Amino acid sequence: MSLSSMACNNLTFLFFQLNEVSESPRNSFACDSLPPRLYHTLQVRKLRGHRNRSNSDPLGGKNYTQSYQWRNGLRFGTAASYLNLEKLGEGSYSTVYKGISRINGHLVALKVIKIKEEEGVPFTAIREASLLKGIKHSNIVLLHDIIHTPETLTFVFEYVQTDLAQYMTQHPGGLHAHNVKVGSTWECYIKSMGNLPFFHLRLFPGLARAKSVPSQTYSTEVVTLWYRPPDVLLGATDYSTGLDVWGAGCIFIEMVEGSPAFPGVSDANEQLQRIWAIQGTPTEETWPGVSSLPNHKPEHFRPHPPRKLGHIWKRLGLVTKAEDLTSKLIECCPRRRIPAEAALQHEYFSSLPPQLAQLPDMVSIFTVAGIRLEPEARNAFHPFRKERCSSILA
Amino acid sequence: MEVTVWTNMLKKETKYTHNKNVLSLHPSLQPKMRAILLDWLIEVCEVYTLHRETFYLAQDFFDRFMFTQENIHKSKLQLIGITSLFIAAKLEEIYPPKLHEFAYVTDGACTEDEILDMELLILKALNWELYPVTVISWLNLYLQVICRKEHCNMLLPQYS
Repeated sequence: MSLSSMACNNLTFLFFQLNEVSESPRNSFACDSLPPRLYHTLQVRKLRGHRNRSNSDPLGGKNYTQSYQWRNGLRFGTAASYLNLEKLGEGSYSTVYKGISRINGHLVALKVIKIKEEEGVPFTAIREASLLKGIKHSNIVLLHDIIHTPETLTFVFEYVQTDLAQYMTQHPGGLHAHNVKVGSTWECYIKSMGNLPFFHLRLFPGLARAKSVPSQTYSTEVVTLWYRPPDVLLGATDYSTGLDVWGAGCIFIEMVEGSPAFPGVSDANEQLQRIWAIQGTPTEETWPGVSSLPNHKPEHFRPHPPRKLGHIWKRLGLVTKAEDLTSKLIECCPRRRIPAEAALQHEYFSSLPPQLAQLPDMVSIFTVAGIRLEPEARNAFHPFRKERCSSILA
Repeated sequence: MEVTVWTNMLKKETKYTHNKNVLSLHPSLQPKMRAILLDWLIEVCEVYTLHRETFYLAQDFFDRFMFTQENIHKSKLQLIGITSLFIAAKLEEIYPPKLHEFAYVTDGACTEDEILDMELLILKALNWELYPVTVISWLNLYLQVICRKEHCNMLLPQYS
């Protein structure tokens, strides 16, 4: 299962704010006088230009209620207040549609969850809704509304144009080095949000779970195999944010390289072997306490020497300090793994504006002067633009 | 770091409000009935070996739900109780018992359909706010504070 297919099940969680910049230069379309039924078409043409906090506001802050009379009397919480436009995707327990709010004309994503089939409201939906209800952060999708009917439950989210998984599918072969850097700050922020009521965030699908207090133990099933740190693979249950840092490291490599870092296919043992083959087999010296972990078996510890990350992931070596940051993120010993806040202070990020560190939760990083995304070299959906993009870069 | 943990717990405590006068909203109920219900729920937890946290989540859901309602008749208590546990188990357990098992333990008092209808009612009434700080959470924190005094090398929570 690839990162992208996993994230389809999780269309709503932790979406990346990405402006699609790889297409034609910014041109503003005159949309002031268009009736609302044309929004759909506008959206398909892709939103261009600066976008701040509100992903769900396709009109760049312009208020349409002045020029067009919306239906009166519609309230939040009722199905009649939203209009389905097109199907965006189908997950294991839900279908996601693009829709439009008849209350204020905003584009929304409607996640329609079938209930009553077996066990009532799916536990993933319960966890997702209660988590997102408690979070307002510019890098996390907003849950606007929940609509109940006897057969279905619809979560109304702000509409976001793309997420990391889609973006990576669209731009295979690794992302632009600058965009990886901008994107990674987001990853670290998610994990360093001290002022969120310490939600334990998962970057991975279906696993949203908030805990109010540490020392809770989880099943080792919590993180999909590829992003699972070795301590969890070995049966440790006292993990906390160190788990997310490992996962962030894996996603970082995947963004740079365009393919997953440790794509194990069978079981935890194979996954461990993949990690040892690159990071070197841990010993009591490199990882105190490793041999007393529950699933530790000597036969799984055939010695491998550590290898230079830049030799395995070639593109990592091309960017200043990227290899060093990666080695700290995917440090096998959880106590020696870099904390998320410290990762943000790493020299790799030093080329970005320092204001990023003081950004309030509700402000997008794209509001900081100098933060923008560069066009990607490759676009799977528009392969013939490749040369044009390169010529722009040159 | 410890200060953040502490203030966040306090903040959450004010968001998830409880009221000891909840029974005044339900004139036909007596305090004893809640006690009986909770005793029964903890027995159900024992039968299905559910975590203690699951029980306290269910208790929190039940109490807060009752605070949003009026004139609940005692015949509905068991349904509200078992549905609270049903939701709590889905949130907290790795392998929650199945819906039919929840219906089964009520010995015919609540059907599967009734539990499913009540589930939506409760989720909506609680405004989907389902992560309270339970007594177990407080206890965990206090134990950690004590242990830390005795064993300085203890692994501290790294919530950040």
